[in-house]
Amino acid sequence: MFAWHGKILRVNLSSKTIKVEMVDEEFAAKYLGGRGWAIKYLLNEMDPTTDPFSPENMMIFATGPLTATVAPTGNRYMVVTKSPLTGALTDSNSGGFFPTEMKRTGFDMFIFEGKAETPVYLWVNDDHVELRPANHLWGKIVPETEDLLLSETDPKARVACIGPGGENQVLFASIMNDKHRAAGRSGVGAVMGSKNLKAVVVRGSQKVDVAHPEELEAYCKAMSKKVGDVMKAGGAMRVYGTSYVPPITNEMGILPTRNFQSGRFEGIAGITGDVINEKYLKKPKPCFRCPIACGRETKVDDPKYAGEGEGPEYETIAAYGSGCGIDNMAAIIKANYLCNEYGLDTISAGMTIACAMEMSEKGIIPKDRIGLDLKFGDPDAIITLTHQIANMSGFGKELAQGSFRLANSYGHPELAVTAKKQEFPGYDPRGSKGMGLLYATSNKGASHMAGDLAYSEVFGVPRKIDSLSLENKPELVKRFEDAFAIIDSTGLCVFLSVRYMFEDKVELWPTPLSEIMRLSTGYPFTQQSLLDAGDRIFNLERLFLLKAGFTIEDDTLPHRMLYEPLPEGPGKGHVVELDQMLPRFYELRGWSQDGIPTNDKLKSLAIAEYQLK
Amino acid sequence: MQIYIKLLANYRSNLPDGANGDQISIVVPEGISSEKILEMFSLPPIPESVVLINGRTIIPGEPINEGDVICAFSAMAGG
Repeated sequence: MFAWHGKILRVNLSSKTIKVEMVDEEFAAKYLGGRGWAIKYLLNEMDPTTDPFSPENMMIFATGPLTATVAPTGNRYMVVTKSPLTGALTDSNSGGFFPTEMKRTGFDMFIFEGKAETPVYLWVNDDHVELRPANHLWGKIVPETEDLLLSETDPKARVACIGPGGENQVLFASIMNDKHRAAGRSGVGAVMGSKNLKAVVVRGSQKVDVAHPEELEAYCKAMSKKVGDVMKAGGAMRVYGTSYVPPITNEMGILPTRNFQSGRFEGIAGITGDVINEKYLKKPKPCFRCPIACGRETKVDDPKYAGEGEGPEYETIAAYGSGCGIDNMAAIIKANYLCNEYGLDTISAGMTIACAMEMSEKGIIPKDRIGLDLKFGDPDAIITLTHQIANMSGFGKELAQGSFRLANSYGHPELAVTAKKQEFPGYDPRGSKGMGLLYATSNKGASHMAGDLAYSEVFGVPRKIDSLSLENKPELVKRFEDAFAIIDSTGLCVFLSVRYMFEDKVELWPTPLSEIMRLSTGYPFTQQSLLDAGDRIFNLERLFLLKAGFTIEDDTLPHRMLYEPLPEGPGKGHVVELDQMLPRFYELRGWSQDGIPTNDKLKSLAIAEYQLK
Repeated sequence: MQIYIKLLANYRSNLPDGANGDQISIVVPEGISSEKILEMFSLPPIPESVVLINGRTIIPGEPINEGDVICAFSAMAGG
């Protein structure tokens, strides 16, 4: 095979057994790789009703066929497991350099089963695979963990690890790689912690062979040059990273503000990318083989919030900034550093604190319970509470359960802004209706990365559409969901793929992507076969959710989105008319109006073995 | 008539010196088009540029009125 190794490492942490398994090209191509391979294994091998913290939950690290190839941004992997935050499937994506090194060990995928008796880490050095004790690492933050691991394995190895957040099973703990990159969402770090798995360290020398190396190199070089030229001409993602976004979403009135009480933030001037560039940016940073370089190396000298690291991303600025009513960028960046060091999802952490701020201001949670007079706009509070969440101390113990459980425990479920119990990302769907349908139908709860049609509703890619209209949104949500399932399975980064791997049509037609997949793997992929694969993967994930007990009752949005109109901005007076979009979405998906894939649909996707009797 | 122009992210540098943050007010003739405004600031046309009118997606040919806020940013952000 080309691009794929066709080799999987299966690690049973309970019995400490390690096995190598092979997959054939038919399987490889049908499920693409990454997210697609992983869901097939989860669906076939585990009971979806399993407790996410039980040893029976499987956790999979999955690269794609394009990871570690010459394809621009071929540097990604997915962590796929059952989420303790949502109870649904999750697939969390990360880049940097770990995924490339992992692919170079000669394995496409690592499967983790069971639970180690005491903390361990996995060391994979090409064919040499070893579970090593990690007691000496347990309790250490991410940067320290990585430094120690590199000193006892190989200084050129790459590390994915958890910090105290995952060890303490904070429901939104992340898995960090290369110190500052995050498989952030849905508590994948907590699952890893529940298995007593502190880290995975990889060092590989296996080249990834491709089917048509000269043609592929020429094609990819041309694409990289095109993107690089845009960047050199002052492309916003090179100049600002994702921090160019806050003024745009604020102008559109969809920037989460004070727990989504509004979509416009009066403190916007304090949280723009220009503020980062003027005061905190050291330099842009690319992942492996990336011509964009959206990463930010930053430093804060203000002694109150001093630190150094990478980020913040837009989502962090929305969650810890406007979401909490905070316009102090130094404090936001410090909170970001803490999340990276502890291994926490910045979105869920920030928005859970925001929910607590609203409940505190409304007198729902007493001051002595929180330990401080918690209000929106308090930059010190976000620092204090982030420490507490990671260490499960004080009020942090309650925050560590996420905003859905927090709000419900105080009898105010309407104050949690979540879908399938996961906190919303930085686009208020009352002003961006397609995003509302996305959050409600995503297989991993509220996630913009499940099919980010903010690309169209906000950023004009492939073209700008009216974010306040419902027209064509079910069609677009389905198309974006399928496209992202493809991208997540190939090992590419969304940031390049959405703009350059699809033809410039509203339909997101994957001509360049199918060409790169064909040249890499040698398999005769077509645009349609790729879209079918994306649809197939999305349906398999849906089946997992249905077997886990999810129903159409869960394809919904929180109270604030359905019943509380935006108070200001272009979307003033708007709510999300989900009931006007869902039926058409189910129809397009080939599902019954109960949200269940029909047998005909499953047969059309060549997964008839999952037909419901 | 007086309107407001907001140029965001890397488009900010196309504002004249002395602009207040990312916004200025200008006086323009009645009936001016968004295309003409982009030209005035040496910015690429739609769809390379995204144009909002009072925070909403502008409809081609939509009239611009006194007091409107016209916001533009690049669709070619790169990622």
